[in-house]
Amino acid sequence: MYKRLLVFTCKFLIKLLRLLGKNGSALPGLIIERLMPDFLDISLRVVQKKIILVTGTNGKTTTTKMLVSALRGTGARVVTNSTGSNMTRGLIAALIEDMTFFGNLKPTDYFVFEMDEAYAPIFTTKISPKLVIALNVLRDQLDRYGEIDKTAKLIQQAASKADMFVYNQLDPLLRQSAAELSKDGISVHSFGVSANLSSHVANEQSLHGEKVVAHKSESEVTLLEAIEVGDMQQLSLELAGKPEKYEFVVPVKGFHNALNATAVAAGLSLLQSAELANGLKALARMPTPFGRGEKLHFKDKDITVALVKNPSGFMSNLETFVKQGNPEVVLFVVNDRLADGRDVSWLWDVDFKTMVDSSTTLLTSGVRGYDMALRLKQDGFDVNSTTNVVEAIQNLMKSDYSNIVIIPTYTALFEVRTALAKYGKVPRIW
Amino acid sequence: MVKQKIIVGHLYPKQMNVYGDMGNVITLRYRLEQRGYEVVYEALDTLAEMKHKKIDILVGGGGQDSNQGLIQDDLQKHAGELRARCEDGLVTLMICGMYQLFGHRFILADATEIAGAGILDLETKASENRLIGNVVTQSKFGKLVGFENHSGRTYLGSGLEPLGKVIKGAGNNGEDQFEGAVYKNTFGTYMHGPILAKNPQFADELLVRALTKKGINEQLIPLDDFIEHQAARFAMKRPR
Repeated sequence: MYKRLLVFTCKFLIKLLRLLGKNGSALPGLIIERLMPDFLDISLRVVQKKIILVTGTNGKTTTTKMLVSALRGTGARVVTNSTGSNMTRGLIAALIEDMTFFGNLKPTDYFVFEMDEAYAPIFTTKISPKLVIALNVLRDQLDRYGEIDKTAKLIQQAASKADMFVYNQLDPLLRQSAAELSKDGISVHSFGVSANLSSHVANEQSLHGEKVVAHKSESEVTLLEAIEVGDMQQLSLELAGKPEKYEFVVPVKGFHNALNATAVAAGLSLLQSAELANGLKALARMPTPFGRGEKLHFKDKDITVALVKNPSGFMSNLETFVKQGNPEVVLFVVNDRLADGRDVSWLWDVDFKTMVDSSTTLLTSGVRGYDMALRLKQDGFDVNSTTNVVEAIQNLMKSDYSNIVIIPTYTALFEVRTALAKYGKVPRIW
Repeated sequence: MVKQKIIVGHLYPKQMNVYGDMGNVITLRYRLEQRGYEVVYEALDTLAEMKHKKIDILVGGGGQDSNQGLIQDDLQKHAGELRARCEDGLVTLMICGMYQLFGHRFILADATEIAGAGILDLETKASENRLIGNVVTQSKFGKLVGFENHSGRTYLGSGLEPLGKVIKGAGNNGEDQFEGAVYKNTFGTYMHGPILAKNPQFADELLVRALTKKGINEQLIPLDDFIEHQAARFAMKRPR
């Protein structure tokens, strides 16, 4: 009864907040987290074998969106945390959203949750999910977790509670975790790329000039080809032991997203093997996640917003949106709030020289906009800086530039979108 | 006029590289090239390579605790020679993990000891809690700002000079207010950031020492460090 009352009140609150144009998910999530700490355990334990977790440093939000689109394409009903809010509150909000006013879950085939790496072992304390998909373990917010070896262990701990584990075999730490999980009786499955594509992979190894090794023989789902056509990618992949090739389109650019789609194919081949082709076809219609290479079309301006959280993601985004997209101007917005990570030294592990043309206008902003400016300066670029994000966006909107790329860190993404909304249509994220 | 070549050696760049300390190399290169020097970068995967190279400035960074094991044998094998070079005044900057390994020993929780190179008179004890956050240190070379992230607690021998006193943050061990260590031209510190990028006066101090050691006695041309100082100013104001 208590739960019903809480859910009812919170659903009402969400509607009210939305009417006021506010983010409807944060506050109700907070209320329930405080008043009923075991809400998630109670609600989800009965459906735990329908739960799929997507975790890893980079690509969680996009991959989750892809998997949800693919599963829905097979006719399944799916509940997901779609705003990138990937800890307790985000999950609570996603559930409440979908619950009836009486606090019951509707009949659902899959619960696909994007999940923070450090939260995953906490979530799985009392819940044993069906599948954990691990994308990569990269240097990200080391000031929060300490070290990346630790991050891999956190993922492994969560996966040890699952029936199945899908992992990126190009990632040495995840390969090691998979080997140990396999010994513990977890059914492990890998995805990867063919040898001729391995040079496109941006990970901890490639970042430090080491070769990425594609262990073809152990890859169960293998990406064979990724060709960019406009804002889309044409992908081709194969399953070990199967003669046919799967060809499909994803509406997101960048090789990292081709790899994310491969992870989705690997997951889908376990959950809905008979419907694999249909699921992959549905990816063409997936919505682009906000801020992850999101395109905004204003009156006289085309703006791409590409979130960065760590060196390898930064390199991938530079490659896709700056080197290939060749914009007139790039605005980098760097914050160091808790959700960004207080430490900004990782900016120095990104190589801008090879990615940015010297004719491109470069601007920086954010609390640590000057750190970003300094990094660019020492790579030989001229930079203009203002720490005030609203002012930076205002200057950009008043300028003659029509082809613009904005690269924000996590909390800066929200500031950038809010500031942009004054000048044109920015889709709501909730 | 062709200026002289300055050789910057980077110790264990593959194993000790997780906290952006490559930025120290980038800063040294930038500040030398702006003054017309030619910079040669040497990645030293083993100290054996150092024998044949006339390194002018040696830098080393922080790494995963697990990676420190990988370089242990190499460091021990060549510790004597490295020590001799440092005694002779080689300009050296070691950050975090490499700073610890330049000491006598690292003592694990179960009291086992990992031997260091014994160049700096200090030892480090393992600890459960990591010391993480922005650091500001008052040093002879001005106020230095950086970011620390370490579980080891480092204690200096009585004769060893610290790099500075912590104004904000934990420093060597969170107890005695000391940060880093200086012996001759060898500098050790927990400050990432990277330290040289946001503290240009400290970077220039290393350069002057390296040039002097090489027999080049000329004034460094002042550079426009507006962005450097702005970055440092904002970093100092941020919460821990």
